[in-house]
Amino acid sequence: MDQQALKRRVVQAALQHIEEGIVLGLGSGSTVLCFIEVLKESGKRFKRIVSSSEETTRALQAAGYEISDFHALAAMDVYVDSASEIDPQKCLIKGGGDGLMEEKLFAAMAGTFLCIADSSKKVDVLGGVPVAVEAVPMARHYVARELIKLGGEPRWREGVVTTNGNEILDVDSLDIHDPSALEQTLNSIAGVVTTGIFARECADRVVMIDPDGEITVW
Amino acid sequence: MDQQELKKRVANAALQHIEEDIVLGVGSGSTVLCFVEALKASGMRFKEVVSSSEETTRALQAAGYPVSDLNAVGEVDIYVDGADEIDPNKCLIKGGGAALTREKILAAAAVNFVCIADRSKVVACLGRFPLPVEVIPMARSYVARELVKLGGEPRWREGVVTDNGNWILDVHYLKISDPVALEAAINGIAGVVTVGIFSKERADLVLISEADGAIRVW
Repeated sequence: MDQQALKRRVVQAALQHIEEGIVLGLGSGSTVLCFIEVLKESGKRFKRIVSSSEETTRALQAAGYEISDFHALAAMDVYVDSASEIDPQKCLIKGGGDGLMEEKLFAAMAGTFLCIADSSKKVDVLGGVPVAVEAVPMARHYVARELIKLGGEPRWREGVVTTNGNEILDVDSLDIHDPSALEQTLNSIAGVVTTGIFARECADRVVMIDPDGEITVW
Repeated sequence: MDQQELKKRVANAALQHIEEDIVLGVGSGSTVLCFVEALKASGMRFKEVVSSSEETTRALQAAGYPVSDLNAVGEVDIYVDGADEIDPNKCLIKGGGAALTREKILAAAAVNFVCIADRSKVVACLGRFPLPVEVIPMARSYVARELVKLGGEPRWREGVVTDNGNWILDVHYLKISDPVALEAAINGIAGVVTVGIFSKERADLVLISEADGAIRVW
């Protein structure tokens, strides 16, 4: 089965876990765009839909969905997104994009965070991909030095400014055997706004597809 | 002695705890503006001077001190700043002036943090002063709900935008018997940029001007 066919199959499986009439939040990336296509074909309607990125918003609007203002939202029922890595406790490394803060906020607000992925994203221990750390511009060097003390190798994603006006450091070589502890440590560094480790806001349900097209839900 | 005179006294006393040719960090607020005046009068010169707010930068420049970017400076030798509350362990509440993020970054980047205040700022337990929490604008409602769960009563400091483009929630009625734990808990809330508890970045040296103008150092 080719990549695109696998993607369609896994988002179709994910859609079965989503009821009509709820408040739905959508993340970003190619899996989410595929999810929107399948959503449109399904004809499912929702009370409200909110989006974590411009790209997702455009795709939803093109599919005929009206986007709600996130600020007006008191609660979110389900948040659908993908991840770069998933560990057995459903802790994640996400993103990399400039909408990291929005994604973490959605994950924090949602009653259920449903994560869609192919089986290559499943790992025993997180850390095969860099961890994005969003920092206040003035703190960039200080934060980088603190990350080095933690054993990390930070690289400044030069030229990138997040939607909140901050900068991103991509950090390799961090020891992530205890994602919750590391997330807390990173959040406590002065100048850090958010991180790509989603431990406190881990996924509640994972819908995963292997190369043969077999779906696992856990 | 009136409060302005007490601020001047303690600002002057701080000069004895700094040396020329160091990298000096300067905080914000009315006591710090007195300190900038005292600096100017002293004629002391420094290797670099970094500042925690636009207001302080303007005052420093007017006093003849060029202001450097923290990213270009690296470590700060001594950081001088005031506080809204100081407990016996030198833990602080800061942020009444909305500059808490940059203040915390400088306190963190500094080898020594010298805190200057008049007697009215000394408390047995932090929390009578409403705790400032800087948040990403889109996260305001979510963070406020989480702060309510922690027992606080957050109020939006409406109309105030920080130097980083964020908003401030002032949290009333928190009893901060364990500043370290509460600082970590609030830092873990998605959308929080900085919490005004300085326990990880507490003061190293505190200078207090007593009612009679005497300076107490601890």
